[in-house]
Amino acid sequence: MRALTAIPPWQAQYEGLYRAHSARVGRLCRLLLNDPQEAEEVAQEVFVKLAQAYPGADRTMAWGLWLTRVAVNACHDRRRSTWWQWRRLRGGGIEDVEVADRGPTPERAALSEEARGQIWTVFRQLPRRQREVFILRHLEGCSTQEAAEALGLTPGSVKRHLFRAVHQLRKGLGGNS
Amino acid sequence: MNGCLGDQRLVLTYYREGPATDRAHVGACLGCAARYQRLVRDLERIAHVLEEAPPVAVIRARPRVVWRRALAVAAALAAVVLVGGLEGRMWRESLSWVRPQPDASETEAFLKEVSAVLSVTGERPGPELAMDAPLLDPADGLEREATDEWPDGPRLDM
Repeated sequence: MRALTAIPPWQAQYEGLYRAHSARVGRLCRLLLNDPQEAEEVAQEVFVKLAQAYPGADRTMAWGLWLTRVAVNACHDRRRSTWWQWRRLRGGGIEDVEVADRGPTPERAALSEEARGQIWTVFRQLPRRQREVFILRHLEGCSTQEAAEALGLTPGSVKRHLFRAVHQLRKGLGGNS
Repeated sequence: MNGCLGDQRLVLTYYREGPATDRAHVGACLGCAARYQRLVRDLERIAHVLEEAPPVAVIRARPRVVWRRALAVAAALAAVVLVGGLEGRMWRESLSWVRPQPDASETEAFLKEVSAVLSVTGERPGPELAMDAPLLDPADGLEREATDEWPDGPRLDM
């Protein structure tokens, strides 16, 4: 009779990290890549890298920031890959995505469809750096220093990109300064 | 009120990056407080929109950006090829200017023309003149010039 092997403690911790960060990493990848299918694949790659790095690593490390940095780099790599650019060009699979209608939330009711589309269009047209900084700083809640470390920028550069992104997005919303 | 915050400082204040004096100013100045409230409202709306899935129209509009980039790259490559081709052609033409091909018939015609002109004016060709000229003593020449200049010299001495 085969003896049952106990689950190593790092595996339970890994699963805790996955539960805590999978939704956040998935959303980060969706915002960086614009393609839900690609984003899901990249998010899985990020957690595969976590599984490879976690057993021998320091448990006290800031894994949330580590995951953010790995996700940003993975999205960079994916955007650079020729295959992905070709797929985007062909539009394969993108039109087939079904977006679930979640009903009129108060936020949705406050903004017209046109305004929402305008915000998304401006967001997509932002330069890559501005978009990344806005995502990390505003949506992910990173500090300026953390965003700078994750993106390989200086804090001053992060502030400049953040201001420009906010300015452009507010213009898209039709807001005044 | 004096010292009102510019847009950038207002945004930095929102993200708690600015100095404490800016935050205090926003609390005290009605104009800046109103602008700050609008900024907060706009950023909350933007965050809500971005947390939801993008509209399908936005997803479908994406490949145009890629097309535009591809066209820009193709145009740049075409420009490089065109400039390179023109440059090569000009370089080849400049080689023919630097090293003109000698044309023997033209040279011969030119020499014949020169000979004809010289023979009409009665002058002898240069090489013959040089060969037939007698070798003169420079001192002798000077003496003859002196006598030609003062033909009556010996008579004055008399």
